[in-house]
Amino acid sequence: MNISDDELIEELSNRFAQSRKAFSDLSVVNRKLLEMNERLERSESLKSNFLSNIRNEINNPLNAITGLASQLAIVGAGNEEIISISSLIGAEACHLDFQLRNIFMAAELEAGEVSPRCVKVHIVSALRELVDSFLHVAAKKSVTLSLVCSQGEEGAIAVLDFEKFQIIISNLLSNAIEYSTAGGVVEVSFSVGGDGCLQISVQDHGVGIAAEDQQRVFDRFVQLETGTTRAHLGHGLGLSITRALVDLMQGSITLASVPGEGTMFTLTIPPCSILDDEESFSEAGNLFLFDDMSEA
Amino acid sequence: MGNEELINKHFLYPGTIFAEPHPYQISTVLGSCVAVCLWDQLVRRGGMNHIMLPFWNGEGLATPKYGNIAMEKLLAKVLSIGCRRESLVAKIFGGANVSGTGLEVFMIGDRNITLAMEMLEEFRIPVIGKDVGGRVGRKIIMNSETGVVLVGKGKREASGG
Repeated sequence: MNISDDELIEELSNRFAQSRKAFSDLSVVNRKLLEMNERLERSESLKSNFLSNIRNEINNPLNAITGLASQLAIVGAGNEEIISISSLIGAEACHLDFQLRNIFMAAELEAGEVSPRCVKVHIVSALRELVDSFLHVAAKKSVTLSLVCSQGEEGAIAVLDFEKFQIIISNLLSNAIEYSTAGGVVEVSFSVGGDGCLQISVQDHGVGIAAEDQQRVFDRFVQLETGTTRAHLGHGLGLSITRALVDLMQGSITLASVPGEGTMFTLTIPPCSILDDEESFSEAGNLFLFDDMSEA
Repeated sequence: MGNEELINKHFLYPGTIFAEPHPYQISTVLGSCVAVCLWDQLVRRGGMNHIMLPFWNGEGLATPKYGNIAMEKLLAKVLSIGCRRESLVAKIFGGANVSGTGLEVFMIGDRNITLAMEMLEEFRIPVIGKDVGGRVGRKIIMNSETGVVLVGKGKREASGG
């Protein structure tokens, strides 16, 4: 097919005009998106600030409730009813405390104010304590918790941030119990690699997660089943916090799941190394004065 | 630098922010991550963030791991410790392309730098110093009182944030 130069030029300029139009449309949409994003960010930061400010107002009365509940149990010793009510108050307050810890940790993470504080942790006793704290929740659902400790690992020690470790494991345990079927077993196992990496698995034999949903579970406020058919407690905050905390500890978390058979979360945390790295890095590199801001 | 021993020290972890009214020595290690230092020339205070990825995707927690969040939060934080917006200056570090693939989707370092520069321009904060890009990681140490930033470059492939 032959076309003249004029036709060719006309066609080309038409196409240019079209793409210019498309480009300007795109930039309008883009500007709108940016505005929307700004608004989102503003509301996000309002929320985080609010949460970090009211932290104490909530924690103090809650501590009082837990303390008074245990006092009540002592004072009312001998009276079955008082003891059962006070232990109920204690258990409910504990549950509330766990939820609040999550919410405050999310607020702190979003404010960027979290720094790992590493200590040496005796893994078996730390895990044992965490598993024990979930026994009453598990018992309510007739789920059995088991901590598997292989030969030679009894004395294993890892260097990590204990407070964050507790929140991570608590969330994994709480999820595993929530999504187990009655009479199921939740297994917690761990190993410490030669490089000091701590690996922990939490395995349940519950409903499982479909392949297409496996990444979404780490998103914020996502519960796979929503609306009136929702059968599970929680707000979908736990795993997003877990992921953010694991990121902060430079670790990784993966999940393997077969719908109907159960889910296994595997957590890998490297030993705290950045502080040691501080020294080695300056030896490897040549430290120089970049420039002086005060002279600029 | 004679008072180096007396000054408070803070190691900035990836995805966090630090700014305090008292003098601090803030250090961090950067690979493809970008750190922005904001400093008030008159009040002589400042702070730093540590960006791992450019944009928050609206999922997961909105932590300052993401550039757009981290820039807003750092600015808010330095203003809250008494810095004034009109006398703020900025320095940008990091953003090395450590993976070495050259594919644009993997050039997180470059994208982090672009994001930080664009947001500083939007805030109208002048960038008075930068040491960005390249192939090796960096360690930086900022004195929040004097605004001086020391940069160490790694010989090895960066593994830091």
